[in-house]
Amino acid sequence: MIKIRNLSYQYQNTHSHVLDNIEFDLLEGEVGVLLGESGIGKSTILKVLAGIIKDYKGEILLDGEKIDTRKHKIGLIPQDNGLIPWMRVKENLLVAAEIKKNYDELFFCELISALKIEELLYQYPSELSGGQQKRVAIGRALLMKPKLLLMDEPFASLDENTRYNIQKLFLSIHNKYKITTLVVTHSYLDGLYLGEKLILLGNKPGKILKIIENKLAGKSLIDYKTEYEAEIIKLQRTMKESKLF
Amino acid sequence: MKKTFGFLISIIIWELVAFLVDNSVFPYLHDILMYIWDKGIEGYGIHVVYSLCRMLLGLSLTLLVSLCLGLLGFYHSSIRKFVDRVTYMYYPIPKMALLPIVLMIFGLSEMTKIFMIFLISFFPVMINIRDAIDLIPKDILDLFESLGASPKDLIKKVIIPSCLPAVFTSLRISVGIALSVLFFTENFGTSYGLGYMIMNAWMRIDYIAMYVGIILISTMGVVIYLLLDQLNKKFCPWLFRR
Repeated sequence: MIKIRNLSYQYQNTHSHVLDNIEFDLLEGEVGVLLGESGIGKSTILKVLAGIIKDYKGEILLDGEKIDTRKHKIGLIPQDNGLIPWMRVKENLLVAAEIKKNYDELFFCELISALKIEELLYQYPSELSGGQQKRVAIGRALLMKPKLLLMDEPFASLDENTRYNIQKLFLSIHNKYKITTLVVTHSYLDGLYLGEKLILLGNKPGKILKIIENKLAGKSLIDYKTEYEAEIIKLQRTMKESKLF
Repeated sequence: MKKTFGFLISIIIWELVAFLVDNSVFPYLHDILMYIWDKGIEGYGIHVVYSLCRMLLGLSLTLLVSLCLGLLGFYHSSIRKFVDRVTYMYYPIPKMALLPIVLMIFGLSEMTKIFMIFLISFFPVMINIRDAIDLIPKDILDLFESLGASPKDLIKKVIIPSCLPAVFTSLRISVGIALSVLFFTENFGTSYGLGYMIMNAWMRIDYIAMYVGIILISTMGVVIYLLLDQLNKKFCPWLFRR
């Protein structure tokens, strides 16, 4: 479980506030989605959780302990996947698990089969399509069995069909391994499909507008088209209203 | 096939020019090759070994210092700033003009030649390494930060491999200028080396021996260049798999 309390952050050079008093929880195995417009501070929250930004104010607890990248296993999937160009797919997959010293060969075989990347192991990232790169990035983050998985705009660069397939794949893997996940996106549709908890971020500096328990998570976009449309209108209205104040 | 054809054409052109010039200043290629055959390895081998060792030591020193400064600059911004300022100040200075100072410091020892090769190749290699480190994608650095990776992991898995293409490119560029410096410095305080061999033969009006020296120093440059090319392919295979 992850608990965030009074999280605030301002840039050191410009002293401008980016985050103001952010508070939310994610339960064990829950998928939370940070929703909001570009530049509102969504990725900053992710960077704080990933240990990239260290000079924040507030408290972040992972299973009751102060979050620490050396101690905790935090899987990060950066926006551009962060695949290492000079490593083959297999080395890319293993790099996080090797650093964290918890490589499990059985799990590796299971994971590459689930992600359908067995055929790609000896290729370089530059030889892969966008969807294949995303699957490798997901595999790398999961292979070290993280306590927390962070995904920064993970589906932004994919075409519609690939995006839907990867999201379906992600949800099936998530249902199996139940890893607490925080996804950053500006797409309401992605948020509604993936997130059990939607955390709406608005205003500047970034503040939480609303936290919503999402009933549509994992439900087919085709079967629940009307519900999705209704929810998107509600979310848009909430965002619009926040701008008036 | 194309290479062999080009090589044969070069030989024919050389022989033709030698025939047209008809002067000992430009001997026939077959005379030069006969000279190499007759003298054997004892005749010029020692000069090749000396020159090769000086080149390799100078370039190795360049690589070592450049990598260390690149890494230190990555971890400490003050060192980075200092190196940048030194680069701006000293890079434009013609390095050959510093030879008298280097001679005063190291005398007529081997270190003068090695240091001059280092001096001429250092800035191109160091600047390329520094820029390669700057170009490491932020996503990759963030990923390693989120993993709590040690500096050793980061250096081994990210920084060194990211520098390798720049290292090979800049070393290949440096080989040409380093050979020119080597030729020049081998005319001071030594009786060994291809630079010495060429100038000594020239002064003795032994033009064939002079051409042998020129061919050997050129061959050495080509061999080092090809070797670096092969090492680049071996250590940076991802560059050739697009």
